[in-house]
Amino acid sequence: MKTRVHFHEKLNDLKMDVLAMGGLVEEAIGKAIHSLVRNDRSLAAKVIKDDEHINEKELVIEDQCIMLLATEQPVAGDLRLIISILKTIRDLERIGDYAAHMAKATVNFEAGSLTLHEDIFRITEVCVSMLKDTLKAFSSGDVDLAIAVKEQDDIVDSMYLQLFNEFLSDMKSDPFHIKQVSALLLVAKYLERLADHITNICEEIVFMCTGKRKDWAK
Amino acid sequence: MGTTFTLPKFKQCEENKTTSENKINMTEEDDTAAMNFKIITKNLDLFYGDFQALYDISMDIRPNKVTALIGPSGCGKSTFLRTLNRMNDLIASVHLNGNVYYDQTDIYKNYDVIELRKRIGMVFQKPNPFPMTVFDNVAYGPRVHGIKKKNQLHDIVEKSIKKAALWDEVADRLHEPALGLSGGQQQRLCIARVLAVEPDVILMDEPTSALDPISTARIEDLIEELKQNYTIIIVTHNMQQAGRISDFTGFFLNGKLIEMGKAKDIFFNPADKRTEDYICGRFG
Repeated sequence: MKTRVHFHEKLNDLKMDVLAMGGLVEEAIGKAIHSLVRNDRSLAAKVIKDDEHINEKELVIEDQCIMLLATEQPVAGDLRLIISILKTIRDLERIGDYAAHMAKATVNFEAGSLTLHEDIFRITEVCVSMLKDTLKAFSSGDVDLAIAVKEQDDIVDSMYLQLFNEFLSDMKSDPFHIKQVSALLLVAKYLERLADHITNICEEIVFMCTGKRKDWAK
Repeated sequence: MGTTFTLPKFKQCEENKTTSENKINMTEEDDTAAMNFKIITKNLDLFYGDFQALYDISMDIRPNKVTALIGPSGCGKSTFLRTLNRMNDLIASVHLNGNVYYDQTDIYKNYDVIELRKRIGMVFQKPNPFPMTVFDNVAYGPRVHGIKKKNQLHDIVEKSIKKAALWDEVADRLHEPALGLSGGQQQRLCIARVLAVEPDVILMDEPTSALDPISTARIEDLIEELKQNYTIIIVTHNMQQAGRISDFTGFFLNGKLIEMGKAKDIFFNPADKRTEDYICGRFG
C-alpha cells in the first residue's frame, strides 16, 4: 500500500520549483551576455531587476524545505533530497547574482570601438550548457551526467586563463580601452566563478543519489 | 479491599545448565568474532504451527549497544525479540530451527529458563506494574530469586529505581500502589523491576508506544544511560526513535531480516530499496 502520498507529492513539487529556479538562472545568464553583446542597457537593467525573483524563489523553497524537515522528519533518500535542495538553491542564487553582476558590467560598459572577444561567447556557451545538463541530471538523478558536467569545469578554467592573458595583453597594447577590457575581464571571472557553483550542484546531485561523498581530488 | 494478587510460583533451577553440549560450535577464528557479540542468532526459523513467522534469521547483537528492530506490523520483529529470552516457549504451537547464542551458549539447549530471563529481561509495550506497592513491584524479582533480607531488598529497590530515573518522583510514594503512577512513571517502574534482578540484556517491545512525548523522551534518555551497562534490543514503530537511540538497526519484512547495519547508514543511506521504501513511508 502506498503511504505518505502527500509528502511525496510535496517533495516532487519542491524538485519542480528547483528546476524552475534553475530555468530563471539560465535565462538570466543568457540575457546578461546578450545585453553585453548588444550593449542593451534596458535588457541589462531587467536582468538586475529579475534577480530579485531568483532571490525570492530561494527563500520560498528554503521555507518549504524547513517545513518538510520539521513536520515530516524525512530519512534516507528523502532527507538527502531536501538537504541537497537546500544547498543547490544557495548555489543557484549565487549564480543568479553573477548574472546580475554581468548585467551591471554591461550598464557600465562603453563598447565604443572595442570588439568583443569570441572566447567570451564560447565560455558562456560552455557555462550555459553545463547548467542545462546539471538541471537535467538533478531532474533525472543522473549521476554519470553530473560527474561529466563537473569535469567540464576544467575546460572553463583553462578558457578563463586564456582570456585573462588575452585581456592582459589587450590592456598593454591598448591602454585607451583599459576600463572596457577590465569590465570584460570581470565578466569572464563571473563566468568562471558561476561554473564553480555549477560543479557544487553536481557534487550535491552525486551525494543526493548515492549517499556518498565522492573524493573529487582523485 | 482490592483483589488479592498471588505471586506465581517459579521453580528455581539449582544449577546453571551451561555445558559443553550447548556451547557455540565455531572455529577458533569464529570464536574470537563471537566474543564481540552478546547475542548471536544463526539461521533461525520460527513456526506458529504450520505458519512460518521467521525465516533464516542470522543476527549479531553487540554488547552495550542499542539495537533497534523495525518493520511493518506482522513482520516478525516482536516474535524475534521474544525468541531471545524464550518468551515464545509460553505458546504451545511454537517451534523453531536454528540457534540462539547468549554469551556463546545456546539458550535452547538445556538452558535454565528462569536464569535466562533473569539475565535477559523484558519491558513490554503497555506498562504492566503488578497491583502492589511501588516497592513490592521492584522487590518482586529479587524476592523470587531468594533475597529476603529487608535491608538488602531496600538497597536493591532504591538502586534500581534510581537507575530507572524514577527515584525523585516516587521516593516518598514507595508504599503506595504502583497503579497510581502515571503511564510514563509506570513504564520506568517496569524498567526498574527488570533492573532489580541485575540483567545483562534488556529487551524492549515498543516501550514508549503508549506514552506521551515527555514520557517518551525520558525513556529515551534512560535508554541512552542504560546502554553503558546493559545491552538493549528494542522493537519500535517510531522511525525517528530508532534513528535517535539505536546504534544498530535491523529491518524485518515478512519474517525476513532484510538489512542490518549501523543506524546512521540505515537511516541515511540504506543498501536495500525495501528498507528505503519502508523508512521513507512509501509502504507500511
